Amino acid sequence: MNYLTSLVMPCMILVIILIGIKEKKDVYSLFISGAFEGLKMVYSIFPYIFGITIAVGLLRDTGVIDKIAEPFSNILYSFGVPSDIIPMLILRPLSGSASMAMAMEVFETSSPDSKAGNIVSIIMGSTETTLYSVAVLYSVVKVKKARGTIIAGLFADFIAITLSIVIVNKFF
Amino acid sequence: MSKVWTAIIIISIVFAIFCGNASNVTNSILENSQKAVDNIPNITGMLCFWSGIFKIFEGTSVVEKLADKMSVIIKKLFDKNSLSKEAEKYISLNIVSNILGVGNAATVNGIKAIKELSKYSKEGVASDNMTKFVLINTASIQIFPTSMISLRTLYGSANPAKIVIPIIVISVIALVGGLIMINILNKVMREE
Repeated sequence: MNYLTSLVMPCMILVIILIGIKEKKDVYSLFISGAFEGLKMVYSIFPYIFGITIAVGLLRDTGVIDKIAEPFSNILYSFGVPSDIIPMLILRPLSGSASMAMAMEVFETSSPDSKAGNIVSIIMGSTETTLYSVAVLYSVVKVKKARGTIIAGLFADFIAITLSIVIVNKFF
Repeated sequence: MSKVWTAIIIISIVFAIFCGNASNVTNSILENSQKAVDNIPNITGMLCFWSGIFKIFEGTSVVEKLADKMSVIIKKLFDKNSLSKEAEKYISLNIVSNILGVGNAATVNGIKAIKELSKYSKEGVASDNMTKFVLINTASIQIFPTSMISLRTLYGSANPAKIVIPIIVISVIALVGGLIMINILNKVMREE
């Protein structure tokens, strides 16, 4: 499985280049012009990534995240949710790296095969950084009114989180 | 998003002041600004690389065929009156990259897709097609949850791949739920 997954990226690159050659494209100039577009993308999305990084940092470093987690921990515990996954749940929609760091903390304290470890792994795999993705994609086209996007995205995350907890409690 | 951001900043600072650790705010900002900037080389490198690779791919006939194959699904999901051929192409590439788990390639194609979709929208307001497209990106399906498997291996899991099937099943259900929700919300929250 691990080797299989490590094959995806190299094969993708190889196949794309071979197809380009077969269709007699100027592979090199295309790559360069694409790389230039990539540079422009970074220019337009970086300020938004920057804004989120600062906000998530403040949330963690001032201890707000633990304060928010406190009242929930007892309620969630009665549903079979170990309380050490709560900070990860709160950070998940905002930041991939911050929620990954929280997941690693759970692995460190409980082990990946524990109940908390399994729940965390499945949630990390089946949800996305919803608010972050919305911010980045809409920023490119200067959309201010996202309408139902955030609610629907968080709703999908909520389904994934609930199912992860149920499945680990029932089948693991 | 602007409300979420503002709320986080205000709550964090007020909380820190009341708890008497206001210096945490300064330190946090200093540390995280640096972290964000330190990340620029990574983001820039990967986006330039995948943007370059996909530029090669875009012009080939394979992409057209791929878009044709996926257009059945895409036309079911999106309103075809405001969907250009180009948008269809980038949406297919974005979905395929997401499924394969090549996140940076998905970002590259996602940005191009939303630019195409925005040509049919009012300025500053997300169209129905845009809300659906962004939703698919926030609830995407991945066949190989690579980073989670390697992280579990790193922390000594006895069965790192045990989570793969639950992840696929759950993300499909969550995606369907999200799509139903966005279809309802698109009707409730009109473009004005």
